[in-house]
Amino acid sequence: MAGGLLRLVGVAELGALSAMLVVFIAHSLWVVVTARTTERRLVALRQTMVRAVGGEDRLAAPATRRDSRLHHRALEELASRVSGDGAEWIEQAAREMGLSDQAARWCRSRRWWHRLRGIRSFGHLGGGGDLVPARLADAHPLVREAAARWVARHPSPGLAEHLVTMLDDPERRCRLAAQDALIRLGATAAEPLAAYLARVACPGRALALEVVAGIADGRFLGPGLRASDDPDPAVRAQAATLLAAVAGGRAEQALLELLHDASEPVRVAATHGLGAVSSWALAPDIAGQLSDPAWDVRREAALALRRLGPAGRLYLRRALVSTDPYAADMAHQVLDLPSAAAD
Amino acid sequence: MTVEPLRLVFEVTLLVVIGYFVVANGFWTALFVAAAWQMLQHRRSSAGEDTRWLLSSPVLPRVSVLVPAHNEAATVGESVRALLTLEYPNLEVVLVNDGSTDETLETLVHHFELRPIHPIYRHVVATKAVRALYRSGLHPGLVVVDKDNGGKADSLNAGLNLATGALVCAIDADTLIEPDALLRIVQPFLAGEDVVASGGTIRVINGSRVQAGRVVVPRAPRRPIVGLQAVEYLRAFLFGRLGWNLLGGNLIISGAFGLFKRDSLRAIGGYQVDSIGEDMELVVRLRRAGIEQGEASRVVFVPEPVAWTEAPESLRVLGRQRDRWQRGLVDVVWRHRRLVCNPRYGAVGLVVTPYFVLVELLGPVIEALGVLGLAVGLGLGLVDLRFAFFFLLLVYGWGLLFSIGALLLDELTSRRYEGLADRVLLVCWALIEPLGYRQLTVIWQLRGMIRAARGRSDWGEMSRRGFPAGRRGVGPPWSVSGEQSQR
Repeated sequence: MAGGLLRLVGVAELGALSAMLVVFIAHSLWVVVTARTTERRLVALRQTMVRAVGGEDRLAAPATRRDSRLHHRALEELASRVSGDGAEWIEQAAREMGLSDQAARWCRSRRWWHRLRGIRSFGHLGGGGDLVPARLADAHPLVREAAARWVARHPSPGLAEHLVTMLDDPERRCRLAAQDALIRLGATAAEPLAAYLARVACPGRALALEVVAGIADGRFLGPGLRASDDPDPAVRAQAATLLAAVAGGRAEQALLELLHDASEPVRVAATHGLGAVSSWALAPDIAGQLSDPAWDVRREAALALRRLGPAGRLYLRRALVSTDPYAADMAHQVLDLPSAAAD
Repeated sequence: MTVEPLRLVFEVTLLVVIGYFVVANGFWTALFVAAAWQMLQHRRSSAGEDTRWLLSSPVLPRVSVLVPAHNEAATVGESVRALLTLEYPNLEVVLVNDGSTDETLETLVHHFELRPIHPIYRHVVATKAVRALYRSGLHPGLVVVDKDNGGKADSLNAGLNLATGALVCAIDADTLIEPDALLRIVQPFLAGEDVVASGGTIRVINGSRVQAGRVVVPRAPRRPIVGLQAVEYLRAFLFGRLGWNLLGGNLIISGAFGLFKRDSLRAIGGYQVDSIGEDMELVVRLRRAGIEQGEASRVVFVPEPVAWTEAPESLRVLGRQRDRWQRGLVDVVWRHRRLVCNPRYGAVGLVVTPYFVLVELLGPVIEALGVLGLAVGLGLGLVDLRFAFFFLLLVYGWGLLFSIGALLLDELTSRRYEGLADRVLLVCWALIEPLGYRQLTVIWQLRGMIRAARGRSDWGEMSRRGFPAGRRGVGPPWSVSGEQSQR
């Protein structure tokens, strides 16, 4: 019985081992044998393409699937190095060679990895305006992420709205891709972002505030002030950053209130924000933060005072004799910095 | 003693050995299947991917690469230059000069125009005294910490205190990181908030051509002792670690190349300086803390980011290394024994730690017991010769299956070796691995366990050949105590 079982397992083991070895050797041989010819053809194709971009040659459509893969690869390589007219030429060439059709077929596939490949293809080669936006609502997060990146390359206010909605996506990678794309879109995304922040419930508020802090437009003052009362500390911290970027009397007032927030990151952001405003009139308020129980807040306050120049230094020197040993220590450390020292 | 009690002892031993064989191979088979599935998904998701897009991404977290260095004046300049040219948009390199007695610091000052700085930073983790801090005038992203000698873990802790990146990348002696490795290893952090650490594949560099801190022509090692390790590494990383992603998560991130959430590391007090397996201990502590505090803390292995490291070229050095790894494992299991088979820790308690105890820790003991038992059984005529032969063949054949499987996974996905000869050579090393090398490893592991029981906690003297300029180019053999930790 045991001997029979042993023999059975042994035969199965031998079979699996032989199959793996055959696949390994066959694949290695195939790769090694085809590598040289592939490289040679790729070099020739690249040269033809460079001539074709300059109008000196014409590209022939790929005859086989292998040819198609090579054309794809060469065009993608070229696409990463050209822009403007060159990019338009690549889009045109991809259409003529049937590569755009192939990408479109991939985009419509039921398999997520084909849809992903299709969107990435359109990202490299151009085109896909009629198919890719719909994929922002795809069931697979990687596909949604790729679609967001595509949108960043093809900015339009309508698509920016989709991206803003994506800030509420349950998948972190999609939220980050949307945030990345919105930052790249810049002012194009300002209107949809303002509308999004005006909504009562928006889970991606902190991310949206981070994006608009980069745009630093006066129309975001209202959303920033509202967000400074948000129950979520992450949102209040981002609001402080936004208010510092927008600046102005109301923003400073809100920042001063945030200095007394219960959350440490919020106080850090508010102190940093007030330091960034660079107004000497704010020095007493910032100096008050030298006695904050949180080390990071005290550090931010001391550095902000140092950046304020003579007025700030005066408060730092006063802090040296403070009854609060933590404030005195931080002031001591910052005043000890040589003038060229990096923070 | 009569034959009957001996027969009983023998039969019990045989049952234990067969039980171990079934459990261990069951684990490995499950890991292999999980790894193959993960590799397929990875291949699908990375087709046509353009990592250059990330290079201009404004949302990528800052990464601080922590580099411990001790007496590396000859190569530290080239090494740091290679790190500074890694493809990552928001990079900081924190080099910790761990009380070097040669001209390591002077070389850095000269090459990178270091200037003293006085950053105000928090001493979150206790370390040996920091003497001075410098920033490069040429590369503002390079910070040098000059401190008293305290070992690798202490140096990493000093770097951790100073790191400004939300993520910190710990690298080890001999590690050469591929240019896009950081862009790839950061991906799990972009995908999930609950990820606290990620690791990449470590490959053996011996025999490859290295230029300016980069592997330009990867070659399979020609020397048997190194070739056997190359197969071992592929097996350990490509299906061991990858498989754990699906089966309860990893407990090891190689000290040679791993990325961690800085605040999570600081929260648990950084590296344990008195632990002999500090890289594994750190990850176990991270996961344990996460579970105990009710926060998910995933540790993810990514197959594509590759770092290269030098493997020992002599049996003596290799033996010390394996001995130390086993002592490290004993140390970690003992420190965290509460986790083992504890349902409170979920898959970590019920799947991962039992595997480490049964297969990794006790495996060498049972394997040695099996071979001894078989020999005794044969000597006393208690066991059929044919049965013994087929059983041994089966045991080693199964191991071979996993080695060839790992090579196949590599071949079908991220293969690095271009020539057919390199691939065939790797198969050859895999075929001869069970014939002697595996038994030697068992002996070294047993020695490690005995030393652990006696309380030995030294690292042992290690020596490396390095990458001398002119022959194979210049690499970064920086190290603290000349040690490697690719576990």
